[in-house]
Amino acid sequence: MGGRTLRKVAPPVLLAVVVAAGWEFLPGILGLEKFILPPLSDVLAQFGSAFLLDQMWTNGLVTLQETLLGLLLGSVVGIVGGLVLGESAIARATFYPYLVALQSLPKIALAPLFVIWFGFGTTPKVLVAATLTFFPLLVNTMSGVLSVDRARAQLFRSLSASRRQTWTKLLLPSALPSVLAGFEVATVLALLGAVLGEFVSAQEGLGVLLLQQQTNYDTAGVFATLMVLAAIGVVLNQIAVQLRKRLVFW
Amino acid sequence: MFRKRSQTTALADQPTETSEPGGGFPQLSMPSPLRLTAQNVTQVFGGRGKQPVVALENFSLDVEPGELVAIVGPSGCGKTTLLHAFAGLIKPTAGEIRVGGQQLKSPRRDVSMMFQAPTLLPWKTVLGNCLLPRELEHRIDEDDRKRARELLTWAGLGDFTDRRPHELSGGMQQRVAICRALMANPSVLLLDEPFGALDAMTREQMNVDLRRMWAASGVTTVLITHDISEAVYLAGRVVVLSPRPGRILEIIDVPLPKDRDVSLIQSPEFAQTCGHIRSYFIREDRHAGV
Repeated sequence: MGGRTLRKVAPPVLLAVVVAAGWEFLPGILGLEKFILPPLSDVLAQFGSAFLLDQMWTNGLVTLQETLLGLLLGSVVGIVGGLVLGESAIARATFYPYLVALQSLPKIALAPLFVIWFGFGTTPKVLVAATLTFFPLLVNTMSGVLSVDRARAQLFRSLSASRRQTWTKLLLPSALPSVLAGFEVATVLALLGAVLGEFVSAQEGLGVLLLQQQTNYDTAGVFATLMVLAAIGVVLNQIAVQLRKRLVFW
Repeated sequence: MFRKRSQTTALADQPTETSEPGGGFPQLSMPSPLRLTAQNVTQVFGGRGKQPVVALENFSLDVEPGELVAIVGPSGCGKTTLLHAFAGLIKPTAGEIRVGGQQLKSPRRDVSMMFQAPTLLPWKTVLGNCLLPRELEHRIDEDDRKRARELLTWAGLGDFTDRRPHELSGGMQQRVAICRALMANPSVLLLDEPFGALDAMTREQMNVDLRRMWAASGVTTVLITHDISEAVYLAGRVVVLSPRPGRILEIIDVPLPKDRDVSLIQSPEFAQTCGHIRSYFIREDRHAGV
């Protein structure tokens, strides 16, 4: 048991140590300029700066807020849309081709349009995040409803279940694993959408901070911001994973 | 993930041997069994461009109230189609089906169907699965819970009421499905190869249990199977169907007493009846040039 845990934990820890050591010493050995690749200790030292921490905190809150609002909006619209498409064959035939066409469009290209419509505030970033999260939830919800076990559907029919009972007691629970799997993907996409939206136009947010650091050739700062972004992404995704494990216990 | 599941299944397998279904069948307020009639039922699938397939041709059968009739036939002879028609899940292309003299137009609550797979809901407990028919009918009350517990205890599942289906072995899951089918208070019980997915030994035990359950509840039962000895052991009459399109080749009265012991399987009458039915399929196979 102990040996097995060790065998599972040891390799990734070892890899982290090797990468960290390489990052720390290779730039010096290879004679790389610090603005190309600063050693790890320089990056970590960034977190000692009260000014940068303050900046990260205020900008991080903005990005996090955009991400969560976008995730919420995209998920609600996606799930509701997926349920409608799952229920109605006519709705599927009417909307699905256009939704697929819309999905083929790079959503970030909509950002300039959102800026024209909604200005430079939070709204356009929320909308970019929402358009990115919408599709996986729509598709996963719809396919979750449609892929309900045939025998179970027959069972409900043979028991004279009403349409409403079939939805609440069979279709929704059946679709739940697929919906939550879509939500897991969506958490990461929402963060992506928020940062991309900030790249296009913004005064605040981690995306803006990144652009400022880039302009100043503050490579260590860029890496530090990337670390924060990665941490936010991992935490959001893990919350979604735990939520799925909790709700889909079967 | 999979390993964990098979481990729990293996664990759950053990108690089956000690907790065989036993004791008396719980006193259920089963409604009186109803007569089930099929009159000239024909079922055609396809059409609209596709070559239509005749699954069932001119099938007529009269199942007495409280009788257990088995329908045997090779795969693809329209057995499942027939059972789905009996359940009201499909409407026959021609002919009609009557339950208690009333023409069947849509599924009825008192016609209970048991499927090839246990078809349990994984998010519900064993008890919850068993209660499903009542839950769809009205709010579950204490009486329902008590009855479900009695049924599950009778089926040897008394200690498993709060478990989830995936913690149970295949045979135990199928027993939950039987209990669920009985919870609906059926006047007619339809069984679609209910033990087909189980191993031979579990299957024999399930057959004994099923026969005992039927004898105690007296519900009109139609069993679909491709296992000839299963049909002969369980049924009072065996309907032999031809390969597609399914037509009745013969209806055989099983020459065994109503009180059936497992030892009857060794009797000459049993072997003779099985042999007689088997001869149909061997002949049919040769005819088909297989």
